[in-house]
Amino acid sequence: MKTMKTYSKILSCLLITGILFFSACTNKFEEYNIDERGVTDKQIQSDYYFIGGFFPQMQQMIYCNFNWGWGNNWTYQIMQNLNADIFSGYMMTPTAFAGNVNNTTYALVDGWNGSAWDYTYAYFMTAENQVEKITKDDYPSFYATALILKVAAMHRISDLYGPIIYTHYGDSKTGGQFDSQKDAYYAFFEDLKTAVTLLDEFVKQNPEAKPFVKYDQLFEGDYTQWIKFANSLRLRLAIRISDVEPAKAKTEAEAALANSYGVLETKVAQVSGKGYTNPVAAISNSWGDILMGAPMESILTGYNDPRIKKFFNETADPDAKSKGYAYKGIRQGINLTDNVTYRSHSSINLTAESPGILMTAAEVYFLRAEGALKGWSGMGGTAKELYELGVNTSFEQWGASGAADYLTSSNVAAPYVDIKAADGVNDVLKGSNYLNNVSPAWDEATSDEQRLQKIITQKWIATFPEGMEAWSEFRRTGYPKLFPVVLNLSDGKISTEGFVKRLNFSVTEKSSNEAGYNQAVEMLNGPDTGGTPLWWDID
Amino acid sequence: MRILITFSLLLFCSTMMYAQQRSISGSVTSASDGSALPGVTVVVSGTSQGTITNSDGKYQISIPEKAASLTFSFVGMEKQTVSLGASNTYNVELAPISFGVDEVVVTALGVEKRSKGLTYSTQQVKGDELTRTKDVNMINSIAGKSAGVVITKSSSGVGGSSKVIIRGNRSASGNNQPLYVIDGIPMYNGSAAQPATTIGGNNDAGSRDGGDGIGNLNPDDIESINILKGASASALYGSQAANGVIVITTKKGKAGKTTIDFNSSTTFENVVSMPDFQNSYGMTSGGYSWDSVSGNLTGYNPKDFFNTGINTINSVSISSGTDKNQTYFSYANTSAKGIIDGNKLAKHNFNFRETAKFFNDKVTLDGSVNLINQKVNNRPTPGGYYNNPLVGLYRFPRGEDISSYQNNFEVFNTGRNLMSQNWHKPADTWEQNPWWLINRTPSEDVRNRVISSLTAKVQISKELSVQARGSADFTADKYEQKMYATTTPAIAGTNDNGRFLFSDNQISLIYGDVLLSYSKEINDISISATAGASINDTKEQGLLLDSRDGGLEIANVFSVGNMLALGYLEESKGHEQTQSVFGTAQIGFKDYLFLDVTGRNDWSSALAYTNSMKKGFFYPALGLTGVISDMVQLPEIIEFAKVRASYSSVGNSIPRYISYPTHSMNAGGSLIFNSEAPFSDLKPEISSSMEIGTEWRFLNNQVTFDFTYYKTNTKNQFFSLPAEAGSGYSFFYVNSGNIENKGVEVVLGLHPMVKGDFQWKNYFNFALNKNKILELHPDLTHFNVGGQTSSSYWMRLEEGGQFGDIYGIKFERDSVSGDIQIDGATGLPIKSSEFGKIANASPDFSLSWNGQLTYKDFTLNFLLDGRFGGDVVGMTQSDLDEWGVTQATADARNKGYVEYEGHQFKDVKGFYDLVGGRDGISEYYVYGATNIRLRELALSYNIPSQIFGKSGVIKGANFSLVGRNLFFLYNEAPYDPDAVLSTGNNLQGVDVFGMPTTRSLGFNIKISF
Repeated sequence: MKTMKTYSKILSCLLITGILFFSACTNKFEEYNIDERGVTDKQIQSDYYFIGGFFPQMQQMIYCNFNWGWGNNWTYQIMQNLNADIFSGYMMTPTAFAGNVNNTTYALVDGWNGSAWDYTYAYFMTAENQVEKITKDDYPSFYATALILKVAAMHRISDLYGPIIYTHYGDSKTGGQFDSQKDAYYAFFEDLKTAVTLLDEFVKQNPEAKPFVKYDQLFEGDYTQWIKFANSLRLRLAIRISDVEPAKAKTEAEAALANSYGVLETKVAQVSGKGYTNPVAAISNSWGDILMGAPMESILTGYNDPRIKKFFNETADPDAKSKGYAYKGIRQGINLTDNVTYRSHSSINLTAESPGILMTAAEVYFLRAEGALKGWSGMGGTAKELYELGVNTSFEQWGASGAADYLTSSNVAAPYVDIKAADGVNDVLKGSNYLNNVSPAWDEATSDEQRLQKIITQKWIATFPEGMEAWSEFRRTGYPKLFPVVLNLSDGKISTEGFVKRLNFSVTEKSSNEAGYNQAVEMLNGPDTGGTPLWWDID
Repeated sequence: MRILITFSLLLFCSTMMYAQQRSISGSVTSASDGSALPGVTVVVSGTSQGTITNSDGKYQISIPEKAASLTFSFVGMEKQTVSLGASNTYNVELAPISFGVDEVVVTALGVEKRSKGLTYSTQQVKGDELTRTKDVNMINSIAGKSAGVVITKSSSGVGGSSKVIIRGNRSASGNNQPLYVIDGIPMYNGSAAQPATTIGGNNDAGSRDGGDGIGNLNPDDIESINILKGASASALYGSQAANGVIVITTKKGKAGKTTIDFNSSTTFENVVSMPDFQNSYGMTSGGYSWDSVSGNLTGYNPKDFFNTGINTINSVSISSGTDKNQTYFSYANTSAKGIIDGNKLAKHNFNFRETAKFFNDKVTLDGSVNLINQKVNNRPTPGGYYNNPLVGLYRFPRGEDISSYQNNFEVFNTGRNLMSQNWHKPADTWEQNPWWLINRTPSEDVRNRVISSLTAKVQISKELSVQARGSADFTADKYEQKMYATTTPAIAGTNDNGRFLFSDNQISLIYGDVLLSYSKEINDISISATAGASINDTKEQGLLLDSRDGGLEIANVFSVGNMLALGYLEESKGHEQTQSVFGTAQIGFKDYLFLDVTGRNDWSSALAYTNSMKKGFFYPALGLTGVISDMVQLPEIIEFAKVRASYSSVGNSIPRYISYPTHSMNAGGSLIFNSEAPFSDLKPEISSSMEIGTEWRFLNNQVTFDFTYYKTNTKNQFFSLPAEAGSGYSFFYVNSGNIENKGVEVVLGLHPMVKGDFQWKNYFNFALNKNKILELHPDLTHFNVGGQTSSSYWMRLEEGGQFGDIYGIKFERDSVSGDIQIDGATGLPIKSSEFGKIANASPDFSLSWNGQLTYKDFTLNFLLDGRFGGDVVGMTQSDLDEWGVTQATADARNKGYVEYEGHQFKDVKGFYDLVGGRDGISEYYVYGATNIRLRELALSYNIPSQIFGKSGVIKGANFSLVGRNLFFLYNEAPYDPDAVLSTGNNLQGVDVFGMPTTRSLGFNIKISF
């Protein structure tokens, strides 16, 4: 029994030690509680990854198809495809989302329309802000590129909603403070200017260095192209405010073109590679949720525009074919009662490999053409020359031929017939005011307004499929002529003839930043609805 | 059939054995106090031949020479059967029917306590309750057998997981299911996957139910299950205890003769609840059935799609041992064929347990190894649209011939030189050919699992013992799904060459503890105390490779090498450790007053980088119980009376890694920078609960009554809030909120009749739980449980609301009269533009009646189970109405209008277009969830042992006819409202093309050697 007692004594000691040991043994917890799949700051020093690593996310978030873990494509669908891509007249959905009570019928869906705001702030601005903090003092070239991307992303957000959080972003004390759209635009110009200056210095000091090449999804690390892109953006924004602030617009536009690097003349600012896939391809061809818009059919078939087959696939609809239509679009805001009737209309001819276009060289020519039309100096040609260069460049970009003939064409937009609807309720017949009534051929004899309409119409075609820019320019100029909605379910908030003017602010902003939200609505000079025009949108 | 005939023959033979007579005598006494029992019925087992004991408890009986046993029965006492040997005298002690008063109950950490001294309510389910009418997932057999335990089954066919909620949902974003403990050791019960949306999910391959852990066990290995419902009972488990604990005690070898039990159960499953299809209006364009002209259609019946399912569970166990050494070995084979072609399950369970005593019985070693191999093929999706064969099947235009799509679900595609999907319209995300889906998107789920444990106990002195335990629970899961080329590209990838998913996951849970136990009685005071420490270490590692949008290079070659560059990859890796010290003590006074004190301190690695890492969290519990019937003289009819009260505060584990956010890598090497603010104030969720209860027994134990009232408040809920747009982060975390559950549980036992060979026992379980969201967070107007997809269904928590609140699209109503608003132009109702509360998925109360009738060797068991209150949303009905295939749409067309709330809508199609579909007015599809069903019915016959003779190889045999889920006595919904789409917190009370509920009928054979 003695051994037994000794044995138990040992055991008791072990037990007590065990308890003490346990309670003192938490020092490995910090090691355990680091997610091994995660990447810590220490691990990303090489190749400037701690800076460059943010860039794929930032670049892919602009024409959004970045997968932050919830899949992709659907994000783009609600951030842009179901608003700007439709409101621009480019596309239309055959799907009766929410029983057809949705954006297409002006019953703006908060659950969709807040997403551009929410996701851009959650996944673009967070990254951009980190880059600014890391690079501002030590890595000016990265800092400059981040600024350009910031303007490229955020002017789109401002053009959707109006006032945005920009100059006070990341300042934790006043994090929720908005800028009016005017202040935001002024800040955009400043940021672009700073970026160009910094890059210019960097290129002069390090002519061969391409530290950004590993992360660059736009220009293969070529900083001169980035400068051209920045100048082109500056020109785009200048034109945008040319109605509301003509003097500032002139100054900025002329400065942009006066820069020694110039603007984009051949290259297209587009995101590709490094995992980027074009979201429209999946949404249109796999999901069948977005197809050709009726104005596209009307204008492209009316003009006999060869780019139509580059943009769209022929319709597979037997009714359309039997009636002789090769391409068939859908009018926005019609009474969709199911998801199948219009399903076989023309889909978008893009594949997952198609790049995400942010800005084309053709657009820049049209911007310059408009500048020339306004009498601004340094645009590098007459309105006619620049207009025709724009058309030619676009044809080249899409691999279409016959630009020369096209530029002499006096065709106008074709009437639109909805082959599925009874008694022609959705048709836009010959002679209708909604049909775009200018032709591709330039005509110096026509009024400035008509020539502007030509420029914008061609820019509208050349900008496809970037609906965000096309919708902004439609709101500013009213061109090309689009078809108003047939059903307006906005409860009087949005005028049918006046078209939708903006998206209302994100519901999350309203609930989590009430003070900021109230301030923003004040800056808007109107109710927070889709019917309030933005600062630059004056008639 | 052959078995039945054999048994009839055996029965017939038995009647020929009464030839020679012999005389047996003896006395019958009460096991509790030794007093003589007069009036006890003594019969020759299996016959009516018998006598009763006299006033001194003595009996004498003349019986046939061949009679093998006598059965003794008496009011309030357990029936006893005595095998007859050479002796002619048999004295018998009858034990009172046990209501658990003096029973030893296995409580937290395997600590055994007398149920008399328990300060909280527990409810035990014996092993035979689990095996009477077997379910492939054994936890389903507990349904209706314990008050306050709600079990719902995933509608995903055989091998599906189950959701167990004890006393209501407590946590908004954390776990709400109980902890499972086998022989004192925590078990892993996670599910590999659960649906996330009403549409489809798991990255668009279709929603998947990955099964659960508890369903892996062999029910025949289980001795009993004890359910620790309240936090006070489970407080010893500290941070894992918030949702209650299910304590499983498995079988051990028994000293004595070697026994071999063979158990075979075969059941046949048939579909019971199908949507109601019309047969008078045919197809219109687009594949709808909106023809306006009525006819007499002879179309297919979607019910024909389903087969008869067959479940077979065969098990054999050997138990043997001496006083020093006991061995238990078992093997079980489960094979199930689902009601959908190709869906099957095969499971093998090996269990080996050895118990041995050494050093004068001072040291006990108990070791066990449990091996599980399970394979499930083509597990049907529990619901949603993606890759769900039921969508195309149910929507198929009425009156059309489906057989050509059944026989030719694929046709040769000359252009591609392969077989491609053939359906009456282009296959898309929402709908594909059902036979294509079951034949050309096969999946296989394989689980290999080892649970092993070793316990060493040393009895140091009479009062003091020390025990050390260690266990490893290792699970390896492999999942594969192949989708052939021409499965809709939206799901299988735009390059249209098919899709391959492959995942490999390993989870290991290592547990160890040491316990020091002390018990002593000094005069009127008894003390029993346990102190100890434990360590729980969980590791997970997994890899999912999925060709998804990237596609495959060569069509229909399913290998990782054939995946294109843009495939999807998901890496899972996790490590978490909890270390604890704990102690519990009970002080008893005069064996009628007991005070319980429990404390536990947990240190969790998930709390690293927070202020709480060093000190951990302390979880206390306190309980008091008094046995009134022992304290004061009560009227004679009262046998026993006890009151109890307890209070505790326990935790709910926290997600790991929250306190140290890192950046993450996406497949293909894209870095996603962290956008979550670090959370250094992180605290575990805390559940404070109090419970009071009382237990009574009356009239010779013929009536027993147990009542419990409880209230639980769960605070420090873990919420992720979107950060302000300007803050530099996208999300930040907070601990806040207060979710309250209060309720009552009543267990009533009635044993109204013991008359000769006839015995009747009843148990009634009643439970009522009221849930209320008292508080969320000042910045949180509502908490979304899961995301809102494009369906008119959303689960949300709002202050003042309750768990299970369902939001949906409603009819626009007049703010004063509440009357639905009608659009002047269309004459149809107006749809609300915003989501509003339409239903609540939680039942108000549940009531079940468990009855047992015994006559001689026949026993009839039944279980009537009712759930009252709560609602469900029928998205299947909503979708099918839009397609015009339902009887409801035909009835309306026959009448010429739809009538709703006193309005008549003449545009029938317009009406269903508006309210129907996945994004219609879901308010219209809210149904009451109240249902009462005959959940179990079993008629069993104990074949009298004398048939097998005294020295026969067979010692006993039992044959029974069993049925599960036989029929609804009452059901408000057009389907089984208890089937769930997900066993997680989300997607409650909604059916989206879930598998129809089945009824199972079959038989069990049990033979002991």
